[in-house]
Amino acid sequence: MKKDKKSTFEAIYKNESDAIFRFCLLRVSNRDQALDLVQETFLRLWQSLQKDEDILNSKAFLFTITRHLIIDYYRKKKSIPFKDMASTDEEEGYDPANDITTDNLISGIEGRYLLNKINELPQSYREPLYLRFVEDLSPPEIGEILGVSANAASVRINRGLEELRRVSGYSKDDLNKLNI
Amino acid sequence: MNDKKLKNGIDEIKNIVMTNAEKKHIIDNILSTSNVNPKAIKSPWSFYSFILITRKSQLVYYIVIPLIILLSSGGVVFASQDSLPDSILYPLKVNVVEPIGGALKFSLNKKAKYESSLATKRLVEAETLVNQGKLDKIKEDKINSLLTKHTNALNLAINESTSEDVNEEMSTVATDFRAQMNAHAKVLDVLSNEKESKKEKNIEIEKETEIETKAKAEADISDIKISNTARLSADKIKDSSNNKNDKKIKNFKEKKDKVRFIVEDADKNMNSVIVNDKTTNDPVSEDSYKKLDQAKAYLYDADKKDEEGKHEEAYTSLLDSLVSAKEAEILLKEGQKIEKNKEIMNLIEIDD
Repeated sequence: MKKDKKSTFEAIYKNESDAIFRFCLLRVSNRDQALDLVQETFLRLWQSLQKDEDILNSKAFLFTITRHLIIDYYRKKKSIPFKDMASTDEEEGYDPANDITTDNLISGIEGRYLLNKINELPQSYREPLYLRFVEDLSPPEIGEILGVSANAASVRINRGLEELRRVSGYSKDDLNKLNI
Repeated sequence: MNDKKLKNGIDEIKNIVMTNAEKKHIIDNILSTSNVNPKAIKSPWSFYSFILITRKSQLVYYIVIPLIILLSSGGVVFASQDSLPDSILYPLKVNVVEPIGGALKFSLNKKAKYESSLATKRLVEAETLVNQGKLDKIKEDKINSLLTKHTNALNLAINESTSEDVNEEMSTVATDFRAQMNAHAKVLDVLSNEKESKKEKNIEIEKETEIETKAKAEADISDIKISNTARLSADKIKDSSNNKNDKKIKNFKEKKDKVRFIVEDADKNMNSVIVNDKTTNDPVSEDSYKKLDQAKAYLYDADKKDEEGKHEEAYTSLLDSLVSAKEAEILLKEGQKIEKNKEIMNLIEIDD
């Protein structure tokens, strides 16, 4: 039984560890910190498996944990001014674009361009687009990760695409070809 | 062209991966973690957390929940202690709380004392109701029946007592009971007379029609049966305790000294009240002086009958003297209380 859990865990780790690492690294821009977050995320998964908790979608589960860990990381890292705390913005998230750059993380110029353009988008579009574009997650999975309905996630993706098209110069056809 | 660029961009982002060494290091770290379920850090507030305690042991349900019920019912029981017959808590007091209290008195003496105190309590309740002008026929009947019940219980306890020591204590309980009953019966009479005269005055002031006035006065003037019941109760207990006195005549001298001391003490108290001018000519205080005189007369009578060799009669007179002395003290205290209440009521009326 324990062996089954271990093999399940190893299979999930093999399939998802790079995606989780990427998600972390692009947000914290620090390889060691990203590795710590990956370890913490998979440790939580391992503990959940040990407790026989039901995990219906391991990918969504991992991204949800990672997202919360990154939010915690930013909360600890910088003190938040009072005006930001009092902000009525309903979106719970983080904004790494202020103090870090992703330029040194990606070697290719096109990848850097795309990521910079995604980072120029409003916070509410950034994550759904990244998860849909890069990690190939479905709207229901994205909705689960962000704590919104599948419809709301879908709406954010479509609006984010419009916005990305406007700021990046990619045509609608280019984006449609990606089955987004 | 753009299409290719976009795909390339995505592929380049996807090229961000961990090295094999990093992957191995992380998975080794996770799988080697022996303490998979780390022990939760104990909250400093866990001691106070009811939920945490109940989670720990199912037994707590059997202790805490009855305790909560007990405490909440304890509150109701406590609240019912000072309730009067017009309160919704009064039935709980007289039908549940007091009988339970009586059931927990295991010796005859304690039972007799308890019943005596309950009978006194009933009279005090009647006095309060008369003062508030709330004593009606229903409440009067209720108090009367309870008073009879307590007297019967006390009587039973006196009759059941057999040993000499118990008899001695029972004699004290009986004399106390008689003094309390007679004194409070007098207070009750005085209070009801005062209330009646006040009502009559008010009726005159209101100038109602003569027929209506008479009807109202007749309805309001209740013949205070409670005081009669109290006196009858005192007489009943007197008879019962007198039947038990024959064995105690050998302690006559000792008893007489005690009674003399009590009478003298009561006399001193009266004199100090007169010197301090604390009392007025109210009927209750006046009656206390009469009772003290009566106590002295009974004591003299007891001495005389003892000299004549009529020991049983002497002992009865001695007990009567004791009862009268105690009655005098109770009446003096009650008289002072009534006077104080009157002063307060007068001040309130002046303020109004």
